[in-house]
Order: sequence, then C-alpha cells, then structure tokens
Amino acid sequence: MKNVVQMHRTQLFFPRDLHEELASEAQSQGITISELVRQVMVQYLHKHSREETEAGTKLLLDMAEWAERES
Amino acid sequence: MVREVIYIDETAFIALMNKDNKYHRQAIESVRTLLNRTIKFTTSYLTIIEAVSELTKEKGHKTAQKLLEFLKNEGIDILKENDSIRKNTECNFIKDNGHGSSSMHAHYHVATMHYYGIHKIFTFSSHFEKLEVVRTVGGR
Repeated sequence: MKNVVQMHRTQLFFPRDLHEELASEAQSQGITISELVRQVMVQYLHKHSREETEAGTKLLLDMAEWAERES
Repeated sequence: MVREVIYIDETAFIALMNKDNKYHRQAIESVRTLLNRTIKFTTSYLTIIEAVSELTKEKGHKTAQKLLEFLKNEGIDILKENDSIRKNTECNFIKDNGHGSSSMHAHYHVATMHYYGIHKIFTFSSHFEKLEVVRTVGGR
C-alpha cells in the first residue's frame, strides 16, 4: 500500500520577479513551483531548528561550565 | 524532521548552575544526549524566579545573577503566562488535595506545558513522576 501524505492547500503571494525566478528554477529542476517551495521550506525549517537546538544546548552547557570554573 | 519542545524547570537550572548539586553531572549528561536531536527549549518566568531564589540561598547572589545574564542570550524561550494558565494551576492544585503532584509550582509548570502543548520537561523533581501526560528528561 502506498504512503499517502496529507496535504494542506494554501495560497501564497509572490512579487512578480520572485515568482519568475521560482518558475525558472523549478523548470530547470523538472519540478513544480509547489515542490520547490516545499523543498526550500523543509531545508529552512531544518536549519532553523538545528540552530535553535545548538543555541539552547550551548547555553545550558555554558551554565555548567561557568559553575565549575567559578566554584 | 520532528522538532521536540522541552520545558526546563528550576531544578534543572539549579543542577547546572551549582556544581555541588547532586544532579550536576547528570544534568550535563542529559544536555549532551540532546545535542543530536532537534529541540526547542522553553521555560517560564516563574521558573526563573524559583531558580534565582534557590541559587541565591545555595550559592549566593553572584551565581543567581549569572543565571539571569545567561537567560538574556538566545537559546531558551520564556513562555508567556496568561489567565488560563493561572486558573488551571489553581484548579488542579485544589483538585489534587495533597495527593499526586502537590506542589503548586509543579501544577503551574504542568498548566503552562498543557497550554503550549508541551509534553517533555527537563527536571530533577519527583513531582512529575506520577503524571502520565508529562515525560521527563534528566531523571533522578
């Protein structure tokens, strides 16, 4: 049985020049603009989440390092 | 990619900021195990007040002040409190009637987590062990 990914339909507005760039990039990759936007968003969210994780864990480890250095 | 959200309570901050705390090493190890996951860290202002008060007693003003300085950096989101969180805290504290999670600030943490849809807490407190809705990170 195939895995069915549930999609949520949304409407986005792009400035004309950005839309043209997206269309051109999508065409060169042989994918739709929708697929290109999905790929870019996944990459962005992954990068952003990793940065959040790294900032948080660094902050917590810095606290412990400071405690050990000071006392 | 699944991003986890973890709520940090005062016992975790105190364990990290006080090297003489019995959970200090365990707290560091717990944070290290989270490094390869995708996590958003959160806490609340009440947590910070509790941690600062306890650290002042245990280690002095300098350490407490340093925690406040650390929390000005990016990395841990401070969740906003509201009427719903306050009402649920009081309601659950009264309903609890001294059983289960009897500490009022534990009820506050649970109400905050429930409001924001968070299921994991980084804690060294025993108050959360009996609550099925909350999974702990850190352990005792």
